[in-house]
Amino acid sequence: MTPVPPSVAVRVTVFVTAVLAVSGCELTEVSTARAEDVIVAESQVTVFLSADETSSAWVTASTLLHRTYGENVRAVGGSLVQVSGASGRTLRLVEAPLEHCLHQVDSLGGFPAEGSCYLASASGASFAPGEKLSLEINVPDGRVLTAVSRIPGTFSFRDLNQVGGRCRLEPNTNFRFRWTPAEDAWTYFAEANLGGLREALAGRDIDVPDSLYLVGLSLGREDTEIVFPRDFGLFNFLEEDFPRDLLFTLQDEGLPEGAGAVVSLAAADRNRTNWERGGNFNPSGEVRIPSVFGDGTGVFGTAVQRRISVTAGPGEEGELPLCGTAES
Amino acid sequence: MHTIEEARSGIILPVAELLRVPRPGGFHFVWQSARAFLYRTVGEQRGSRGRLRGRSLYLAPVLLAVGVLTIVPPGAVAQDNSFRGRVWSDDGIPVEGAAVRLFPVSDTAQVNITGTDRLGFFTFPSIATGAYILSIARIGYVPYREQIRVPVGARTATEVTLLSQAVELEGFLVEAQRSRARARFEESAGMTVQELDRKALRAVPGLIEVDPIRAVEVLPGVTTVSDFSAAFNVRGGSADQNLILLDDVPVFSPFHLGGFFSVFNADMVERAELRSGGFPAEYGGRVSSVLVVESDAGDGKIGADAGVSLLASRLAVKGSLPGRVAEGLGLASARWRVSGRRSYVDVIADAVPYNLTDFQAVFEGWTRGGNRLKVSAYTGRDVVDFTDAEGGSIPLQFRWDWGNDAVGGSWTSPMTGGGALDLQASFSRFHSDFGFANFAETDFSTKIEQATFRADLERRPTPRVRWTSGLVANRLGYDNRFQVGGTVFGEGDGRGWETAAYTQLHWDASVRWLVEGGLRLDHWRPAAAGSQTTVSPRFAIKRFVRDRRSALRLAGGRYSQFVQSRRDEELPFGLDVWVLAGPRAPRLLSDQVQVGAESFFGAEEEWFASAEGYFRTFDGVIGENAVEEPGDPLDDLVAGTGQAYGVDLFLKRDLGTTTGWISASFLKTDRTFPDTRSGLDPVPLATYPPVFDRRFEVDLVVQRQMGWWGLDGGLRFNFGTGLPYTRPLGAFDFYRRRNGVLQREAEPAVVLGPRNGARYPSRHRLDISFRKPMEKKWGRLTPYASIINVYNKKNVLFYFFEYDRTPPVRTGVSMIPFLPTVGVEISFQ
Repeated sequence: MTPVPPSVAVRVTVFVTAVLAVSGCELTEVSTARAEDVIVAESQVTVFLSADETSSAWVTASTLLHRTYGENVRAVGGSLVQVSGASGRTLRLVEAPLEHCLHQVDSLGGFPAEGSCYLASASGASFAPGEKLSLEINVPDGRVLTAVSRIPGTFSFRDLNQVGGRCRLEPNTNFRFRWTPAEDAWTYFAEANLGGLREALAGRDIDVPDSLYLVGLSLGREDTEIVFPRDFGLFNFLEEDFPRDLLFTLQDEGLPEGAGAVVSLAAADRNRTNWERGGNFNPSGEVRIPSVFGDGTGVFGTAVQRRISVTAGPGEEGELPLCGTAES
Repeated sequence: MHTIEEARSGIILPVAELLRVPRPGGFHFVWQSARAFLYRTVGEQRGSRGRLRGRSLYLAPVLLAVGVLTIVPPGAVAQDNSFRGRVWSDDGIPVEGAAVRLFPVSDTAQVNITGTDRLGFFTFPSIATGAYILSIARIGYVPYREQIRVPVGARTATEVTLLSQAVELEGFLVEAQRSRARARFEESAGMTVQELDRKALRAVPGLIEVDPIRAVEVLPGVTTVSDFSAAFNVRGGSADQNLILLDDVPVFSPFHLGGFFSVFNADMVERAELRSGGFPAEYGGRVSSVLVVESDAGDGKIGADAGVSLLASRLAVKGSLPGRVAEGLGLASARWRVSGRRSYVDVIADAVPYNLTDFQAVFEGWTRGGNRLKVSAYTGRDVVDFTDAEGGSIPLQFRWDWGNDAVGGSWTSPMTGGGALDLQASFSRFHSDFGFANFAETDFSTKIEQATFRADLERRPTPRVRWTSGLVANRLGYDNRFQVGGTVFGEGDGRGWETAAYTQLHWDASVRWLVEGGLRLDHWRPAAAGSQTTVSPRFAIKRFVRDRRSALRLAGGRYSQFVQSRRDEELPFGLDVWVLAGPRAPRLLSDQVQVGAESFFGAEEEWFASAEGYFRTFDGVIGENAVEEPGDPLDDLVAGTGQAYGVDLFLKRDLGTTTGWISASFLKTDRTFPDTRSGLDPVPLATYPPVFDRRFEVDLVVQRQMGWWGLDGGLRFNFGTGLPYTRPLGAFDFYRRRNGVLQREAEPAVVLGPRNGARYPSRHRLDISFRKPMEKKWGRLTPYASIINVYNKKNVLFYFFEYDRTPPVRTGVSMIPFLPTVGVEISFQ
C-alpha cells in the first residue's frame, strides 16, 4: 500500500474543511416577507444645446412611473405628470408606450419591465439652464409625489475646433476635451457611441462589435476635462459580454483611422448624481438617495447636454478641422 | 479580619465600635460613616495628627461624597508601616511578574499578595507591625522564603535574588497572573483591566489558530459584529476607538485576511490586557479601550516554538546574545525572540492566490544597574494577486496588498526609592494598495503612519504616593486615494502633530482608600488648519472593604481622539481607511464615568467577581456623507454624536483543575448623525443604534485539566441578543440612463425602512478545544483540535430580501458553521 504523502493529507483536510465551511454558510431560514407598495418615479429634464452654439436648443422631459415588486400591476397609468419652471412655464408630460422610455423592455432573464412612460419635448425656450423646476405627479389613487431641482448652468467646449458640431482626430491618438464649468453641476456624464471600429481594426486579433457604447465621468463642477477614448469605458467594464480587449486597444492606441464617435457631455444636477451613485451597502439591493418625496420615492434629475461628432482620419484639404492638439 | 487589639493602635476604636451598632435613620448612619473616615484618616498618620489633619480635611468634600455610597465595616483598623522591595534574578536582571506574598508568622492564613512590576519592584504600602514570612515565586526560579520583621513606623525595604531553576512548573504561570491581578486590584483605583495570559489565550478555543485579539471577545464589555472579523467594540465604542499596542507601539488595523484574524503570533505573546475604562492621565489617543499585547523575549535559553495549522505555519526562535557581545553593549543580560509565519492557501489551491506573511522580533536587555532596553518590531503583508489570472476566469485582473510595519524601542531606568524613567520612540504604519493590472491610472490606496516620542517619569516620594507625569509627541500622517481613469472619486491627505502632557497622582490615602487624580493636555496641530487643545481631567476613587479583599470604585474623565477610521462597520468585511482630525474630520471627545465593585473570595481567593456600570458620551464620531458634493474635497464626512451606557458583570475562578470565567454585558448605545441618506435638503438628524448595539451578551469560558489522556480542555459559550440592521421595505427595478433612455440594471434597488430599525435573532455558539501536551526529550509536542460552533447554530450574518420572487422571501446568510480544525505546536528546548 502506498502511503499518502503529507501534502495530500493536508490538501484533503483543507478541502474538507473548506467544504464544511462553505456548506455551513449556505442560505438559510427562508421565509415569506411582505413588501410595501411604493411608487417610484424616475424623472429627467434635459436641455440640449448645440455643440457650435449656432443651432437652437430644445428640451426633453421623461418620467417612468413604476412600483415596488409584489403588486399585481406595477404600471402607474393615468397619472398627471407636469414640470413647472420658476419662469411660470409648465410642461405636461403625456403617457407614451413604455418602449419610448426604456431600452430593451424584455431583457434580463425574460421577465419584462413594467411601468408607465410619460414624455414631453419642447423648444429651448421652455426651460433655461440655471432655472429651478418643480415636479408634481398626481396618481389616480390619490397619491402625490413632488420634487424640485435646479437645472445646471450652461457650459461651452474650450480649445475645440469644430464645424457644425463635427471635427477630426489624428488617427490613433487621444484627445482631451475641455469645457467651461457649469453652475450647480455636480457631475459631468460623458457618453460616446463609437462606430466604424470593425473595419478600422480589421485584421487585429480581437473581438470587435459593430458599435460600442462607452461612459466616462467627471466629478465636481471644476472637473472639466476628460480624455477620449482613454478615460472612457471603466463603467462598462464589468458588463456581461463587454469587449474588454477592444477597450484596452482603444485606451492604449487611441481612435483608429476610419472610426468615429458621437461624444455627448451632460452637466448633471445634485439629484441625478445622488441617485446614480447610490448610498450605502445593503445585501438586498442598490440603495438610492431619493429626490422625489411625498407618497413615493424616486429621482427628479436635470441636465444640460452638448454633443460633438468626431472622426479619426488624416488631414486633407476640405476635410473637417482638427479638433485640437492630440493628447500625448 | 483584624483584631480589636490591632485597632487600638489607632484612635478609631470608638468609631468602629460605634458602627457595629445598627442605627436607624440613613442620614445618621451616613454622617457617622463620614466622620469615621475622617477620624480614621487622621489616625493613620504617624504621630503628626495636627499637620496631616489639614490634608485630610482638604480631601474631605470629595471623599465625603463617596462615603455616602459606602459602608464602613466593623473592625476597621489603621496600618502604619510599609514594606517594599525589588526582586532580581541570579544573572542580575529584575524579575517581573513574580508573585510576592507576605503573611504574619502568627496567622499564615492572612496573606497579603502582590506582584513585581516590570522593574522587579513590589510594595505593601500598609501593613501592621510584626513578624512576617516573605514568599516570592516566579516560573523558572527557585521559590524564595524568608522571615522578616516590620518595626513600628518603619519603611522597610529589601532586595531579593532568585535562583534560576531548570524545571518550569505550570502552576507558577497561574500564580504570576494571580499576583498581577492582585497587584492591579491593590494599586489601581479606576482602570478596568482584564488580562489573558499565555495559558488563557491557548485555552480559549481559537478559530484555526490561537489569536490574542479574537480571545478578547470573551471579556466583559466586548462585542463583535461578525464571526468573520476579529475587530471588536468596547462599551459602545466603534472599533477604531480601540488603541492596540504591541509592546507600547500602536498598531493600526492589526488584522489579516480582511479582519478574519489578528496579526499577532501567539508564540510571541506573553499576555494580552484589555483596559476598557477608567483610564488614568497617561492614556490618550483613543477613547474606548486599550489593548496591550506584550511580547515575550524568552528566558535567554536557546529554543524554538513552531506551529502548524490549517491556515499557516509559524516558527519562533529564542535565545540570548553571547556574554561577550552583551558586555560589549553594556548589558548584563540580552534576550531575544524572533518569529515568522506564512500561509499556504495559495500553494495548495492555485485558484486562491492569497498569502499572508509576517515577522516579529523582540529584544530585551538589562544593565547591571537594572536599566532595561527593549526593542520590538513587526512587519506583515497580505497579498491577493489575480494579475496572472487567465482570461475569463475573473472579469478583472487585480492585485491587492495591505499590511503593517511597526518598530519601537524603549529605555527604562529605575529611580531611587521606586518608580522609573521611561523613554520611548516608535514608528508604525498601515497601508493598503489595490490596483487593476489593465488600468495603470487606477489608484485605490490608503496609508496611515505615526511616529511617537514619549517620556514618562514615575516617582514614589513616599510608599503611599506614586506620581506619574510625561510628555508625548506623535507625528501622524495619512494619504487616501480613490481614483480611476483620471477621475478622482475620493482623496484626502494630511499631517499633524499631537502633543500631550500629563500628570497623575496616585495616593494610598489609607488602608481603605485609594485616590487617583490626573490632568492631561492634548494639543493637536494639523498641517492644514487650526490647532485644537483638549483639557482632560481624570479621577478615580477606590474604597476597600473586607480587609482589602473587596472594593468599590468610581472613575471618570474626558478622553480625546484625533484619528478615526472611515470603515463602514455595517459591512462584515473591510479595511480601515484612516483620517486625521482637521478640515475633513472632527476631533472626537468622550466623557465617561463608571462605578463598580470587585471582590476576591474563596479560601485561597480563587474567585474574583466584579460589577461595573458606565456611561459614555461621544462627540465627533464620523460617518460617510452620502450626499457629498463631488467638487468639494472636504465634505466627504459628517460629524455625529453618541452615547452608551451599560453594566458589565464578571465572575472568574483561577485555581483548581477547572478554571474560567463568565461575563455578562448589558449595553445600550446610539448615534445621532445628519441623515444624508434621506435625500432631504436641509439634511435632518437621525438617531439610531449602531450595528454593534448588542443589548445583552454572555460569555462562558471554562478550562479544565482532564483526568483522561492528559488532555487540557477548553470551552467557550457565547450568547448575545440580536444586532440591529436596516430592513428593506420593498424593491424595485433600478435603471440607469444610457443614451437618453433608461436601461434596467440586473440588481434591483431597495426602499429602506428606519435605519437599523430591525434586529437579527439572538445568537449563540459553543466552541470546544482539546490540547494534549506531550513532554519529549527535546521539548514538548502539543497537538490540538478545536471545534467551532459545535452544534452548528446558524447565526445570522445578514438577511437579504428578494421581493422580485413570488411570494417574496427573506433569506439569511449564516456565520461560521460547524468547523473542526486541528494543528500542532512544537517547542524545542
